[in-house]
Amino acid sequence: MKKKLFFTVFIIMLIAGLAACGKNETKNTVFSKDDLSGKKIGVQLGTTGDTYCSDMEKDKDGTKVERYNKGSDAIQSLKNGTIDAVVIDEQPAKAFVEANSDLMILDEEFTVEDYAICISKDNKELTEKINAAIDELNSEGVIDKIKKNYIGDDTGKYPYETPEETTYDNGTLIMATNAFFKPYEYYENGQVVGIDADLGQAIADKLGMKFEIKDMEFDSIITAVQSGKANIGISGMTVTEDRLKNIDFSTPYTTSKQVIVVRDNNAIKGNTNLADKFKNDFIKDNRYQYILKGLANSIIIVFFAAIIGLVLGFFSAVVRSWHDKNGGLNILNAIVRVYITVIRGTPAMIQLLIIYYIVFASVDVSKMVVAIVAFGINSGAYVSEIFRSGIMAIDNGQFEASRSLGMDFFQTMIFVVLPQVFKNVLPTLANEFIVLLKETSICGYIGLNDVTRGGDIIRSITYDAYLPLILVALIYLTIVLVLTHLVNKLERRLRKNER
Amino acid sequence: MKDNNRETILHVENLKKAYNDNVILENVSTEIKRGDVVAIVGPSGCGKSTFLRMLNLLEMPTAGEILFEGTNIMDKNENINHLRQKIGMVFQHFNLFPNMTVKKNIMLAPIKTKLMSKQEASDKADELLKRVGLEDKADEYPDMLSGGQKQRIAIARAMAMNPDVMLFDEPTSALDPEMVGEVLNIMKELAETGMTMLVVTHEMGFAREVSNRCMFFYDKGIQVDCPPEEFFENSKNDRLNDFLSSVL
Repeated sequence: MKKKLFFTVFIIMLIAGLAACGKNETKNTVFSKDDLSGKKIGVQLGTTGDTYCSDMEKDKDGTKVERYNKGSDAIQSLKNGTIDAVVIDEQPAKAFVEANSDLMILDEEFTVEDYAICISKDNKELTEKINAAIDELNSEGVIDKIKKNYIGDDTGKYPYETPEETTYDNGTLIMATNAFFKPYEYYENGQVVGIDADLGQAIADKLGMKFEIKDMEFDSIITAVQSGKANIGISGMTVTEDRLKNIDFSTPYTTSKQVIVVRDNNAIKGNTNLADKFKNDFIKDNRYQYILKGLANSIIIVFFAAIIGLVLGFFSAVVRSWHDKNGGLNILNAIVRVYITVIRGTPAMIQLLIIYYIVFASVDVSKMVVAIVAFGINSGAYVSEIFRSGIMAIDNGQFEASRSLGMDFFQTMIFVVLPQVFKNVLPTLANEFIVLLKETSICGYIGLNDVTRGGDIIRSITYDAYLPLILVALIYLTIVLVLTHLVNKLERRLRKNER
Repeated sequence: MKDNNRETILHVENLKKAYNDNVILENVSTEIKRGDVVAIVGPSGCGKSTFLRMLNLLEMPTAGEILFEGTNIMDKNENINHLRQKIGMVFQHFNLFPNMTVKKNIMLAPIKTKLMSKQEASDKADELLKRVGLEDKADEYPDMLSGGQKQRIAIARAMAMNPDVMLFDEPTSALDPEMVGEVLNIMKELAETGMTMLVVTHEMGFAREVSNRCMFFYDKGIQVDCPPEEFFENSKNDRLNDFLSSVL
């Protein structure tokens, strides 16, 4: 029965996906920069392309800007025909077009701009050191070599190597980036690589510091540098007026053009079959590892968050019932009520970001811990209300009988009331943990590689949206089915005392 | 039973219960002696259940004093949980714990309050189950039992704590008529062992036969408190006579 259901869902998804693949026929209508007005333009959120195109949106000729978290998402929308053009940096655009024969870059460039490294305004000393390092690297020709290693005909011929005499006495240099921006930063064999990654390494070597890369959403990078989560941000970032208000920039290390990517009307449609796509998405370079590692992370997060949620929720529910039945505990009760109100009144994603960027701003803890704490606190508020409604549903006679036998409030709760509550709320509780599991798919916002982001990374490498998304969806579905099965079993066991 | 030298087990002085301005009971004073079997009767809403429930503080009195074996149970420094162990209570709706077997129902409180070891509690439960004639139901869950059986288990559960006094709050009111007898028989046997009992009831036969004192609650207090012969035959209280003629 379950298996049938599962396969039915699987087949529906497959058909829906294939249907979507077939209808890629919208003709390109953008041939120059002027053609952009009145069209739908895709940009990456927070990039300079976003800034310029947003200005065009203000003119009253109907230009619409679609802002995506990743450049690859914009490219996918372009391929699907949802948007008419993508404005993006030249190098990633070249990488995209290389991987997608049905796209092309217009000869006319959109703008020319400088890329620089962002550093906190509170850290002028670091800015000076980095400027000095960039000057040295430029004069030694290191930066040119790094660029050549990724751009042009000689790629892979000039890998950056740390000088032998380098020492690491000056601590760690943490670089924030958004690794979906080939060739500046992208994933290869599970590592963030690219021009910016090598440049960061080269600078760290000059400064005698250890080097670490933190991958996150592009629009989080400046916040991360401001809050001290990272010392520097290198992510193909252009110097703009707005950004200068919040952050300092080093001297530019390279220039880049913003170009316009459109569909190529003359392209012969590549006819890749599903098996090739599958190989490319998951088998090549062991790409399935991204999903597998993400899955492990997701499960660990959900497991521990659920435990924290149960403990917090249990405690909060007991405090509130004590207050309702016996009076007293006013302060604790007030705290619990504020907790529940605030957590239930704000989106989980915002809570996750607040805990990462504000609460744990100055503490160096792993993102896993941040996610477990954030989702645990989030879940606790919901679990608390589930438990409380369960406690309220228990006949008052149960409390009275237990208390009349001389058991105190906590003995009554633990031995008499909660076993009955647990049985009654189990289906609702299971529901909450299913929601929690799916909620963890927002972990990508703090750059944590959960199963969703594992799929995203593959998408950004292969530009195939279909298989990674379907696989990720099926993984969630499978976990939920397994969880539901286990809960049903447990429920049947707990109900053995009923006729 | 006429011995006036028996010790006082419950001393109630000027007890009052009010919900905001709505006074339920006022100026209730009485003494219960060890071995008393008190039948508490009266029209519904007269406060007899409230009175009973105040004796183990399931309801908090608004004013007055309750001394149980000489201890003021309303004193905040006294451990009410400790005192409640000595005051058994049986409810109209049984209130058995549905998630535990019959035997676990009986054993839970003696074990968790550290009154008995597991073995002692188990032996005690077996003994009590035999006494209420339900030893074959030890491993059943309450939902499998009839109302009469449930109430007999509830009595056994209260008895497991070795209480000095037992409070019965309309123990047969929720039962089908054919099951009333089995519960009353158990209570009668209990009375014969010398247990002090306060029974809120509508069973006048039980009151007349088993009790040594009958209390009539009316108009916010105890109107009549006398032995059953006088209560049922020679009362001079018109209210009581009206009440009796309506229920008998």
